[in-house]
Amino acid sequence: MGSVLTVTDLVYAFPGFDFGPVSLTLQPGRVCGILGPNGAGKSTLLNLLTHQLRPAGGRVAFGGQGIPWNDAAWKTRFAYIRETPAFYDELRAGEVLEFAGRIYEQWDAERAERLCARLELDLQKRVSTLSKGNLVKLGLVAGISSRTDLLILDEPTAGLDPSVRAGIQRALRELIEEQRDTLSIILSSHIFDDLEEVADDLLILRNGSIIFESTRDDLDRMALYRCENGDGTELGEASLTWRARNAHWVLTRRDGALAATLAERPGCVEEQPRSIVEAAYHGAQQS
Amino acid sequence: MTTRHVLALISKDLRLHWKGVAAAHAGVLAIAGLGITFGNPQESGALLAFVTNLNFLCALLWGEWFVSREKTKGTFAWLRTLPISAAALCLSKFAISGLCVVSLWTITSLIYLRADFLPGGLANWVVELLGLLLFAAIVITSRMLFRQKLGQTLPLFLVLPLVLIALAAERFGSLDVALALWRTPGGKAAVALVLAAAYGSVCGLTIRLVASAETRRLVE
Repeated sequence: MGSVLTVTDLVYAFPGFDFGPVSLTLQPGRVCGILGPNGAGKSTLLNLLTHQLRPAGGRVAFGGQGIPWNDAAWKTRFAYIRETPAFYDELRAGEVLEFAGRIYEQWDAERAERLCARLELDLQKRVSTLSKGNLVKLGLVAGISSRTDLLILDEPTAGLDPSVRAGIQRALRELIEEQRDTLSIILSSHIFDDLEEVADDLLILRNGSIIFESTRDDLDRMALYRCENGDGTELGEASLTWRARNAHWVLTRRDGALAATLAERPGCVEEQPRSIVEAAYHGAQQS
Repeated sequence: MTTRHVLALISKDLRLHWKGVAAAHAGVLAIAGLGITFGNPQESGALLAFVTNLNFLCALLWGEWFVSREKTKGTFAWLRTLPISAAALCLSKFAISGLCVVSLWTITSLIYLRADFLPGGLANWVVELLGLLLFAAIVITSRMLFRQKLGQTLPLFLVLPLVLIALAAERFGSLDVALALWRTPGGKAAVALVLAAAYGSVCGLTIRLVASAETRRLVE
């Protein structure tokens, strides 16, 4: 079982975009889904965690130990797969894996072979001829075969057509189930469907800040209310509130005091969304 | 661990670039051969300058191939997510470029410049090789740290002050003093030491700067 990843008050600034402060904790063996619209700061967060960007402040610790900037030992603990993985076009898929195998001391060649067969990845094909879906599969094989503690996936299904996306999603779900005891996963997406089935913890980012976070279990215990009256200022204990279509929408714990109050209040109705994750995401976009 | 990574990176670069490197070697040999055939073979100084310049040109080329490709195609970004230290990454680039420099300089010297370097000119040969290696290292550093146009032209601008100093020395009569120093018993060794120290400094500085740089600074 791996170690706990702790992020405390992480900040970064691009011209015109301030990220953070962001804090989060990822327990071993869990899948953390990061949702947010384009430009919310998802990739920035992942780039900060993986030392592609240098934080302006804050701390990242793994197993309680702070991680020095650009520490090669930290990079043996995670595999990072970007939205469009950049491998060497001229090499064959098998050669890319061979190279990765020479870099990671703990490389599992047998697992790589098994995964390639399962994902129907042709190792003889040159990287330049692989579709984006197959590039993501190659990244997944490289990441999982490196036997790291943490797999970080940045929008792996973005830009794929629906059938390929479904295939990658299915493969991801299976891999996550198989590796659940040994691997922690951070998975970002701007599509809530991508995360709904796999995420144990959910974070929603907007404008560089976490505006909603919940565990899967807590999400299942939440209720959504639509209130026609009130100005929303009294809804402080809600997990998320937003205004849309001339009403206040409130996402709160079903067993909490606020839910009891709203259930009694005239003009407030409990809504039945298709998905609470979807409701939270749309609420986060509008709040 | 670093040695293992450096070797893996060098073998990857060889796999990616061996055809280009071989073609460049063949091209330089052919051009130098044509120069001898159609030029004046008696002017050995001119031939030395010609072959040396071709080697400098290729040193510029190696840096461009080994670094630009990684920057423009974003593969540096992938390498930076792997457990490869900045030292291993930079050393592999210096090593592969150095291998090409040594190989081309040795081959062209053996074929065309034996009269200049053998039997008594070996020290000159080593000093010229160190000069080539230093130039190749500056090319790698410049291309790693700067964007395309500046990265490609900066090494040439760095050569400019040396040329100006040489021209000034010639004009003011100091060149004879410099040549006399060069011909003293320790003169060549001193120059070789300075070049080797400069090479080490360039490598060390590059490793430090790449280690502290964010990945977005290393890709285009």
